[in-house]
Amino acid sequence: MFKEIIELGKRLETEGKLPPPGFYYYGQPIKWKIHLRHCHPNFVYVEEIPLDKPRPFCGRTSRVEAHPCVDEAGYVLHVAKQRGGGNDDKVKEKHKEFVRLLRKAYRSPLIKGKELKSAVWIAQSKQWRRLVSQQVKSKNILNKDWVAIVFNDGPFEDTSLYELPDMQQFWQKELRERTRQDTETGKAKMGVCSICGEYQQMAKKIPVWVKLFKPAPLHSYNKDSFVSYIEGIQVFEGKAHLGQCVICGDTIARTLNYLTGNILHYKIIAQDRHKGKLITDSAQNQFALFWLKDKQFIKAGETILDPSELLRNVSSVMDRSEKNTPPPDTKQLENMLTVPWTGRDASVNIADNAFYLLILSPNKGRIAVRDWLDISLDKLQQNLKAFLDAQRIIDPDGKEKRCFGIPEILKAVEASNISKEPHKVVEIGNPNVSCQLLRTAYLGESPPSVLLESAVMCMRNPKIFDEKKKTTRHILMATLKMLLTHKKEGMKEMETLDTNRKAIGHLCGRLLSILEEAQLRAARWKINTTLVERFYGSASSAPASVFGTLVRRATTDHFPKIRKQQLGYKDLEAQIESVETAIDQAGGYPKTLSLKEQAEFSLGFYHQRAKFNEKRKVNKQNDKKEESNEQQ
Amino acid sequence: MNKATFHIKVGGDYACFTNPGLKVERCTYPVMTPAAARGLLEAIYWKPQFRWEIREIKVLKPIKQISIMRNELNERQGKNPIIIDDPKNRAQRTSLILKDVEYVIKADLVLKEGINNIMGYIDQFARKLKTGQYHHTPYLGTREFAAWFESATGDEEPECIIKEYPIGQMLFDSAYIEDNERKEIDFHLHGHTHSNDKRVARGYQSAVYFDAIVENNILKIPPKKYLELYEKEGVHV
Repeated sequence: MFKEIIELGKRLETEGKLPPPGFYYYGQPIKWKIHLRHCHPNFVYVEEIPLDKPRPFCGRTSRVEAHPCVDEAGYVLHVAKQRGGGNDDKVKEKHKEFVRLLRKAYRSPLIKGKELKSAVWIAQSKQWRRLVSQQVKSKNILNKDWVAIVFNDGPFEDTSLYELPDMQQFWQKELRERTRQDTETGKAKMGVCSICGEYQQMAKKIPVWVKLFKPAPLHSYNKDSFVSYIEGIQVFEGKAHLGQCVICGDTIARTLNYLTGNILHYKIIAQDRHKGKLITDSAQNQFALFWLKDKQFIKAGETILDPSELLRNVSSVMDRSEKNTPPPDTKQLENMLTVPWTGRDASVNIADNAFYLLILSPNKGRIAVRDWLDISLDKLQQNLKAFLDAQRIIDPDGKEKRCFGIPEILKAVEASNISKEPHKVVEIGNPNVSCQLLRTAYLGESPPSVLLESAVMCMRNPKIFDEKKKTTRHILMATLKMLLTHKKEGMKEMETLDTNRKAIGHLCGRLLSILEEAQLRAARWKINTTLVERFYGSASSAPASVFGTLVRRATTDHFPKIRKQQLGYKDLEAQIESVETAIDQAGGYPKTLSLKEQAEFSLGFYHQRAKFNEKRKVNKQNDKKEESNEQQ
Repeated sequence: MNKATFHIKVGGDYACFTNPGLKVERCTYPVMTPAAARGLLEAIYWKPQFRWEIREIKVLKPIKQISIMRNELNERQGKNPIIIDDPKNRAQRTSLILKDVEYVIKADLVLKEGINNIMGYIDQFARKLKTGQYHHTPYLGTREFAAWFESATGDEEPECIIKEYPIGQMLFDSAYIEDNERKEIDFHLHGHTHSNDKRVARGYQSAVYFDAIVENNILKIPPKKYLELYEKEGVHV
């Protein structure tokens, strides 16, 4: 995992997409620039300019630690005034530390060139600070505002001093010193870096944090590793180093920050919300970061896709809809998967390229790795195709077939969970299932079995048969179909009603739908609730206890009315007979149905109902046409 | 003759070969590390007079990962009981572990300098393999993931072919270095002439890594890494 992140980091560094080592994007921009000149030591100009650029970062919290040539006004200018009133007690200490760091930079052999040395010397002098306080604008400068020092003449005109390569090198050396862990005799702890394998100075921490909701450290350096107790042996607390050199750790953190800040590489899989409020440090939140090993163009049929387009399409199974909007469409991905993929050039083999996916979760002030997926592009295509093919199912109106993304599946399962009160709809679902679903989609592993139980239970929630819940029902059925047919036979046949399917659950489900149709026709569709809402649960779990009564009632109560009113008696009678015959051949109504059979029941019921709905819609359309023709 | 080669088939439902870079919220390497293989063999049979040197690890089952979250204790267990009701003593941590693993370990039992009676050790280990006896329960990386073991027949075929899988830097083993300037850990040091010749030394642990690649389902361990390890520890086989 680290190897792949470092490879990406090095690629991004050569492309100039990463900030320099030890640099970080802050939430607040640099607010002030102090312009100085070499030739006029008394020249000072204060400029208010929001500058959103990466800056040196040492990971300080309440400690007093300075950054070179750019820092908070408390450090650079000795400004004590705080926002909202009050003064900073540590300002004297802070400023002293800032000046000390600049003097150290002045003495450092890494700061080369007379002009830069002179600039650093001027930057640390007291003279210009007195002049700053005389300027009108300086009254608006607050303790926490960031201030950068710039020279208006000389070879680095209008470039902030901290951005100069020599100053960056000095900062890297300073950072290595600050992050090193010493032995009791004051020597740096040396060791082999677990990432680059080089014999290096071991870091006790990596200063650059990774930004998910809020910045937090990825590496678990804040704790010693857990060692089992051995009698007579002790491990001294707080002695463990990170096992990494600071450069490798820093590259990983900067690379992850690049990914989390780029919409092309970053998706939220699950969020933990309590009463609508986002809980940012909960491990239930999951973030997927993904990228390709090589930036190759690939050919999908006749279309040539650039890496970003490919990534966008491949990650579309992780797209989620906003509140009250329809689920995202996977059509583009489906089209892309139906044609074979090749490299754009004959020499490029797509099997050599890979798709990487890292799932991170915040966990109480640090970041935990939840999952790591690594798959070659040729296998990715096959697995994604299998994932979507297994899901594809007709909608409740029998009109179009479609598939859904992972967040939508989780959302549908959670939203209709029978154990939750109907009004308590969870926005995004169970994070434990999401990891496994991602594995199903990208690695081709079996879908999580826990989802079968949840989805089956969702169908027992009477609210699911509400007319407004059509999409949820559609997603749940797609999920059940995937659970039953992923990489198995019957994937294609079960997209619509398969009258040849002899699975007992499927037949019972169909029978319930036919009985419901009989009830609806007998009442001329003028009833609000049907037998389904009352009997679905028992019919799907213990058919023998329910169907005898239901079939008898239908034959004595509903079918005579349908026959009298000429509402398709023959057709319905034929359907019920064929299903009952099939059930008899399969051994009659089963006493109980297993979980998988219950899923089959749901699918049989759904398909049969969709078929009736489709016919009804067609009939209504025909009626309307006839009416309009008569009027004309 | 100062060494003997064994092939041992091991497996279990779960395994966690922790990457030292992610040691608290644990993340496993995709394949068993040589250090874990050594630990497993030492759980079955070990004497101060020899060392286990791992030569190859053959991956028999496909690499499957699973993410779990557990309520763990913050402190290691000692003589005093830990009150787990107190939230201060508990932490909810995630682990990325392996599921359903099976390996064949090819390992050498290498005698230390001055020890001759290898046949006795070979017999004892072979007997333990046959009867399934062990000193303490063998485990796959961490103690909660117990392992089963048996003697390999030599015709074990992998369930899926892993042609080439570069893992990157992988933990080879830990060198326990006695050093008065770095007192980070106490550990037992054994003399190799008498089994009772044991003392507690003070020093530090230093990890040794190697560039791991699984080729045709086999992770080959470079033998020269053992020389590096012994050089660090100041012990010569």
